[in-house]
Amino acid sequence: MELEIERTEVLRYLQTSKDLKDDNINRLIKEATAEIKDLINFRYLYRKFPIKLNEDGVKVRGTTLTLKGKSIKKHLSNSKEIYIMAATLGAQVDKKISYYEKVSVTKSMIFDACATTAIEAGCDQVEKEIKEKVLAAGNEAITFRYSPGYGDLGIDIQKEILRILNAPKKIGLTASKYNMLHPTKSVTAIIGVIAEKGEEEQQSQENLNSVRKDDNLEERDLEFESRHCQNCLLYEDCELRRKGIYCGAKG
Amino acid sequence: MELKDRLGKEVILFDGAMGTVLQQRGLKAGDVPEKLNIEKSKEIVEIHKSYLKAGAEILTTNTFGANALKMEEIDYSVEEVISAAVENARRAVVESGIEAAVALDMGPLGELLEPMGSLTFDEAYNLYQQQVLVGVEAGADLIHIETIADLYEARAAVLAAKENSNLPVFCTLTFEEDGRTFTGGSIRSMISVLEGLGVDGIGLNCSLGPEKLEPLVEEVLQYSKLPVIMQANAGLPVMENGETVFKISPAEYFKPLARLYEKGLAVIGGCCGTNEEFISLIAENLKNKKVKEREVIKESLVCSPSQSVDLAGVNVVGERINPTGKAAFKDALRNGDLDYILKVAVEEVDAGANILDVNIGLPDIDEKEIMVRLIKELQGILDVPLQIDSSDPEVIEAALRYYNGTAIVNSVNGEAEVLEKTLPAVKKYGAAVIGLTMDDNGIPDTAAGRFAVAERIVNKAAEFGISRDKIIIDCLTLTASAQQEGVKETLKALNMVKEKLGVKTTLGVSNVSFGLPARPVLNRTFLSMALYQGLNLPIIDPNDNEMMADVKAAAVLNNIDQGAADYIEYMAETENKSGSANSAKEIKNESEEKDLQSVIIKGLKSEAARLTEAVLKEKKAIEVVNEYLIPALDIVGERYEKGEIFLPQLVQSAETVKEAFAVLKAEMARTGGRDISKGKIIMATVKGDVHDIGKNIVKTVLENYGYQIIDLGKNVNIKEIVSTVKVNKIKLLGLSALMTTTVKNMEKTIKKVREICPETKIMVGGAVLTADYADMIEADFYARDAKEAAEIAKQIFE
Repeated sequence: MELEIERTEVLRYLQTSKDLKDDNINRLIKEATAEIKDLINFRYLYRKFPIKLNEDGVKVRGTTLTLKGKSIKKHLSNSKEIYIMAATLGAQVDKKISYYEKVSVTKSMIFDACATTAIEAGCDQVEKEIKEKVLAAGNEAITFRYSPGYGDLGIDIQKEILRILNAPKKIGLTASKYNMLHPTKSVTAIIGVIAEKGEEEQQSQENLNSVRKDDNLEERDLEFESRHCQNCLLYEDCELRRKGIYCGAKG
Repeated sequence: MELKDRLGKEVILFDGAMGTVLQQRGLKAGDVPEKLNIEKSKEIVEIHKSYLKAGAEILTTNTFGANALKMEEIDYSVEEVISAAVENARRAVVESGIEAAVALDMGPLGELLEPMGSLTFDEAYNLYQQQVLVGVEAGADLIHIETIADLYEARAAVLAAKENSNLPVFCTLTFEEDGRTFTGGSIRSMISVLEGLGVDGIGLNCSLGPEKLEPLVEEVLQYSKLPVIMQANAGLPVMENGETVFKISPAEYFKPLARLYEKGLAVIGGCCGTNEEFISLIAENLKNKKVKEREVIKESLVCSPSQSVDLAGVNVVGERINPTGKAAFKDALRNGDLDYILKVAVEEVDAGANILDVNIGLPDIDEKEIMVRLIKELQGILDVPLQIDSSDPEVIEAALRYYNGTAIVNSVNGEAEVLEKTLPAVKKYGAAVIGLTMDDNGIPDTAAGRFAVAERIVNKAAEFGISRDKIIIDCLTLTASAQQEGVKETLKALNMVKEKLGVKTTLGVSNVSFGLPARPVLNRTFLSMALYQGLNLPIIDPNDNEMMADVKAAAVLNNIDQGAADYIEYMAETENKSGSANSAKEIKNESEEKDLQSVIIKGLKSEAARLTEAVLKEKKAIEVVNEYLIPALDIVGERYEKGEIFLPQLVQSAETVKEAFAVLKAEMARTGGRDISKGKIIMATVKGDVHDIGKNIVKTVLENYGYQIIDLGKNVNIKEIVSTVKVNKIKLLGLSALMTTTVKNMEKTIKKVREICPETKIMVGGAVLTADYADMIEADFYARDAKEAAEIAKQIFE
C-alpha cells in the first residue's frame, strides 16, 4: 500500500503556516518525504466484533474486552458491530527518527511530522477499506476512528486490543507497560458500524451546536471539532484548536 | 537413542499448533491461553496426546507467553503456569505410553526491547531466566525459543537458557516474505548470532505458510551448519464471519516440506492453524528418516541484525572512535557527552566505513559503564557491525553481552594471561577476535617470529573452541622512520599468516609514516602494498578519500570486487557528493550571505562554522557570543514569538548557532581562554518514554544560550538520573515525558532527586504536562516550550 505524504499535512504537524516560505525547511520536507517511503513497512489488521452497550461502557462480544467510559458509549450508541483496527509504519521509521535526532534536530522534527502524516494516511486507507465492506453489507455508514486516549477511554486497553488482534505476532506491534505503542508510529482504533443513519445525523447536529465558539472562528473547522475535538480531555483549554490547528486525523 | 544424539542425523518431529487449537475449542479472543494449563489441564493433556498419536516426538508446553509481564494479567504466577504446563505434557506421555521429549516453549515477551521499545536487555533476560529456571525445575527436556522477531530478544532468551540450564536450546525466528523480521533482522545475521551463541537447532516458524517460507528456509540450509528447524503456519489465515480460518490442507502443507527434507531439513513441526492431521501426514512420510547431507557455504560474518560483513573480502574499519590525541573527544567522554561520539560514528559511516572500531580507553572514566551505554546508543541508530576495542577483559565481556550482533574483539596478543582472560568471552558470544603478533617479549623483529606468535594464538583459540574463520591477525605496522627494515617484515608476516594459517588479517596503517614528511603518500603506498599481500581489514580514517579510493581500487585489482561493482558504485557516489556540494555552494552564493548574524537568522547551518572562523580573526570568542550570536538569537526569538517564523525555523537557527559555538569552544580550548559555559544542566526523557524530540529541541536552544547540557537520552532510569545529578552537582535538571502513564515516573524521579540532592531545581515539560500538573508532582518549574526553559535557566544561573 503506497502512502501519500501531503506537504500541507506535514506543515500542519509542524505547526507552521500553510504556505511556509523557508527554502531550507521546504527542501528538507521534500527529502524526508522521499526517504521515509523506503523505510515504511506499513502493516495493518482489523477484525469485526458484535458489541453490547452496558452500564460501564461497551462490551466487545466474543472477547475479554470492555471499552469503558461515557465517550465511547456515546460514540458507539448507534452501532451493534464495531471494527477494531491496528496499523503501524514499522520499526525502521523510529530508528531513522532517532538517527536524525543525533544528526540534526530540525531534520528529526520534519521526519517525525512526515511519519505522522504517513500513519494517518495509512489509517485513512484502512478506514476506507472497512467502509467499503460495511456499505457492501448493506449498512449506511461508519463512525470516525476512535482511539484509546480519546475522551475518557483509557489507554490501558492497548495491550488487550493488540492481543485480540494478535497484533504483536502478525504485524510486530506491541504496547509497553506504560501503554505506549511500539513502534511509535502506530495506531489502534475503533470504528462503529451504523446500520441506519437517521439518529446519527441528529447527533452530529447536536454536537455541532455545542462546539465552543470562543476564538478565531474564521480559521477553525467547527464541523471537524464537533466530530473529533469535542471528545478530547483537553478540548476546553486547547491552544492549538483556538488557532485552527488540529492534532488528530484531519482528512 | 537420546534426542541430542539423533538431532541432525534423523528427522525429528515437533507437534503442531496449540493456540489456534484452543481458539477452535472456544478460547475467547484476547484471553490468556496459559491459564488453561491449570483451569483446563485435561483438555491440554488431550491436545498433547493427539499430537503424540499423530507421531510427534517433541511436545511443546503451552507456555508461549508464560512470562511475568503477561502473567500479571491473570491470577497465576509464572511458577504455577509453567510447572502445570510441563506436568501436562508429561502426563500425556505417561498416559499414552508414547515416548517423547518435553520442550519448554518460550515466545516473545510481548513488549519491544530498547532502543525501539522501553524494555531493557537486562529486564528481558530476567524474564526469560525466570521461565528457564522454573522449566528446568519442572523437568523440561529442552528449551524451545520461537516466533521471535527481534534478534536482541532472541539473544536475551538464548543467553538466559544457556546460562541457567544444561538443556539443548532451539531457537526459531519469524520472518516476513522479504526475508526480514519486523525489526529489520536478516536471516544471515540470525545464523551468525545464534550459531555464535551456541544454540543446538536454528530455524524459522510462524508468519507464513510452508510454500512462502520455503525459500527462506533454503537460505538457512545453505548457510547454517546447525540442524535446521521449520514450523510453518497452515498458510495465510482468512477471516470468515469474524473467525480466523486456515484453508490449506495437510497434503498441500506437506509438499514444500518434502522438498526441503531433500535439501537437509532436520526438525519439522507445525505452527498456527496446524493440527494433528498435519503432523500425522509428516510422520507417515518422514519419521525416523535420515537427514539428507548438504553443502554449507562457509562465511566469516560479523553483523548487526540488519547488516552483515564477510571478513573474507576487503572492508574498511573506521578508526575515529578513539580518544587518543583528541582533546575534544576526551572532554566529551569525561562529560558523558555521547552525542559527540555518535556524530563521529555517523560521519564515518557516511564516508563508507564498513565496520566501526569503538575505543573509549581513558584512565579517569568508568570504561565499562560508558562502553555499554555507547554500544546501545550506536546500535540504536546505525547498522554497521562494531569492533570492540579495549584492553580490559571485563569491558570486552560487557560490550559483547549488550551488543546486538556478532562483533570483533580488538584485541588479544600472544601473552598467555591475556588469551586465558579474553578468549572465553569471545567464544561465549561468538565474536571474531583480533590477535596482535606480540607477547611478553614485545614484537618479534622477523616475519617468522610474528608468524610463530600468530600460530600460538590460533592454537590457543582452538583450545577454547574458536575456529580460524573467527580469527583476524594483526602483524603490527612499524614506523618507517624508526624501524625501516621492519616494515617489510610486517608485510611478509601478513602474507605468511594468510597463506599458512588461513586466517583473516588487519592492520592499522597510518603508524608507518610517523616522523616523515608527506605522510599521506607513505600511508597510501603502504596500504596498497598491504592490500596486495592480502590485507582484509585496513583500520583507517574513512574520511580520507584517497585511502578509501585505494582500498576500493585494490579490491578490483586483487579480483575480490567482482565486476568492479563496489568500485563503480563508490566512485559514482563520491562524484555525486562533490557534485551536490558544488550545487549547494551555488545556492549559497546566490543568497550572498556573508554576515554571521543573517546566516543564523536564516538557519544556514553549513555556513556558520566558516563565518565564525572569519569573525574570530578580529574578535575574541566572548565578543562573538555577545555581538553576533546573542543578538541574532534575540531576533529569531522575537520573530518566533510574533508568529513570523515557526518552530522548525527556530530550531534550525538554534542548530546554526550550535555550529558557531563548536568553533568558539575549539578556539577557547586552543587559547586556554575562560570557559564560555554558563553552567551544566542535565536533560532526560523519563523511564518508559521513548519520545525524545521535545527534549532535544529544548536542549538545542539551551546550548545556544551557553549552557552545557548533559543529555542522558530517553527511557532513562531513576538511578542514572540521580547519580549523574549527584556526581556533577547539578543546579538544574530538566525532565521530559509525553504520556500520562510516564508522568508517574517523572514524579518518582523528582522524589528521588529531592531525597538525595535537595538543592537541585527541577523543570519539567512534555505534551501532557500543565503548570498545575507540574505543581502536583512537585517540580520547581513548568517549561511550556524551549524559550521558557531558557528563561528558567537564566533565573537559576544568572
